Amino acid sequence: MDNDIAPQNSKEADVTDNIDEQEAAAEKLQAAADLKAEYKELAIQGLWKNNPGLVQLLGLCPLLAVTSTVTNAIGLGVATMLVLICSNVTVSAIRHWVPKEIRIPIFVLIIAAFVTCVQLLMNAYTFGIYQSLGIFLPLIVTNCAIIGRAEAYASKNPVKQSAFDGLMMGLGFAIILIILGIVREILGQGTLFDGAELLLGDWATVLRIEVMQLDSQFLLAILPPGAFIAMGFLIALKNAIDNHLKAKKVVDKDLVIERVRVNFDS
Amino acid sequence: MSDKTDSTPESPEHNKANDKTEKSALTIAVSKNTKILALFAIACTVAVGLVNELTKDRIKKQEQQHLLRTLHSIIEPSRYDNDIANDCIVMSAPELGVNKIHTAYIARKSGKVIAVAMTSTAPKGYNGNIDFIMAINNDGSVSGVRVLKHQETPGLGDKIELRKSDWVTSFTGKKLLSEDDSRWAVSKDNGMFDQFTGATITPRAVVEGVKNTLNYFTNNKASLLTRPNACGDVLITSAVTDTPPMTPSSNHQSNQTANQTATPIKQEAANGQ
Repeated sequence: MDNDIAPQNSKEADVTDNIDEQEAAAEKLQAAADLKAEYKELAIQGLWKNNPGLVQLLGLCPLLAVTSTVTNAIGLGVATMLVLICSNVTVSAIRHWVPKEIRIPIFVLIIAAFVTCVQLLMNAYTFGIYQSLGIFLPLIVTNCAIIGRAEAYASKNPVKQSAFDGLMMGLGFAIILIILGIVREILGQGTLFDGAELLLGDWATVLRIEVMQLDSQFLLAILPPGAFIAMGFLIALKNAIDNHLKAKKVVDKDLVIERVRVNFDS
Repeated sequence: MSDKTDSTPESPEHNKANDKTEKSALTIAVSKNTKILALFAIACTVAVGLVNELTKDRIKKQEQQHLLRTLHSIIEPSRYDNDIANDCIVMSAPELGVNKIHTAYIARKSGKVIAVAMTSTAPKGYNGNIDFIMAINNDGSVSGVRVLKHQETPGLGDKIELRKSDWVTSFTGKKLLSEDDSRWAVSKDNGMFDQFTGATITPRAVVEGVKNTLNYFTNNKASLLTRPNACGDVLITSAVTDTPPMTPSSNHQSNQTANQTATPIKQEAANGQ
């Protein structure tokens, strides 16, 4: 009897198994879709909607101080991005072992350790850029964008997503740095990639572009106030684009509703 | 953990047991957190230490290279044959701008002094001190000047950098005719050096700084060159800013290693003040 029942049972089990598998597969698909949506959302947040430079306005001190040339901007942008990714990954990996009460000191410790490592590595391998970044490299520790991401995202989410979040936030920050660097270098010195060899090695001297010949440098663009003004224009531009998109959306909606009405009337 | 519980202050008799359990719960949490924090601190320290250990040699090499590059730009490498980066003396005098320890690197050919590259400071810059290094030939003429560190206005005063303008090369080959040579001034003050459009204070400060340094060297040449080597194993982290302070022990060491007559550096500093 046992033998008779057993196959039946196993058949049933198979069926349920199949259903389970299908469900699992569906769930997996759903999860994958969710994950994809989350990655997309993370990218949008980091690069545009919640950009650390333009929207959160975090880390303004290095942002304004070192963006007088593109080379400096790239150097600091890459350094910040590296620290952000590393700290996000570490914070996320240890999130189950860190008691809530002492999470902030631990985050600070981790960030400080990574910044020091990046600083040492830059000192060893890109000595020139290390010198021109000066104090702003160790000051990455105090960049609120980093501890902000650790606290707001990495401490609650899995490692992969946190790494991606770090990458996107860092990229968003670096892009703003580079745009500011481009604007200020062109206006101030009339060049692009001046001193790139400090960052990339001797071959990079060919990257230097003389955009326009200036008789005297445009001081305002080189000095920190110029950075503030350029930053203001960037933020204004972003808001203008956002408003434009919003207005367009509203118009689209109105159009759709109108069309429905017309159909109804006819 | 247990000794921490024991060490908490004793509570009154009647609710002693109750209090103790409460306290121990708190103490357990605190000591647990302390341990976790300590663990993280140790892990971070180890990581930083490891990276430091890995990059140490390379950083040292980079700094030496940087120093050599600066030195080569003011003294032709073919003119000397010693290990210039490791043949230096230290000095401190008010003539060198500020009373901090300055380093001078000596270029020798077959043991004979060819030129000396001195770090010095021009204190009267538009935005504070201007640190520079200058090489002085054995005959008292300038072999070259390079600005190491300054905070002058970008676009105006920063033309003292070779990267921005070749003004600083106008010192090359110049000599002091007398201690108070009136030609050593910017052209606005009837001197032989140009000033920049919109910036007179910066070049004036540099000219004066170079002149003072040159005077100091000419006046103290004999005593300076007989000083013991202060470099050797001591790492010169940067040409000017991070010159390691002369501790009595390292002073003692260098006195021991060098066979020349030792002039105590501290004494010179005292004389200067």
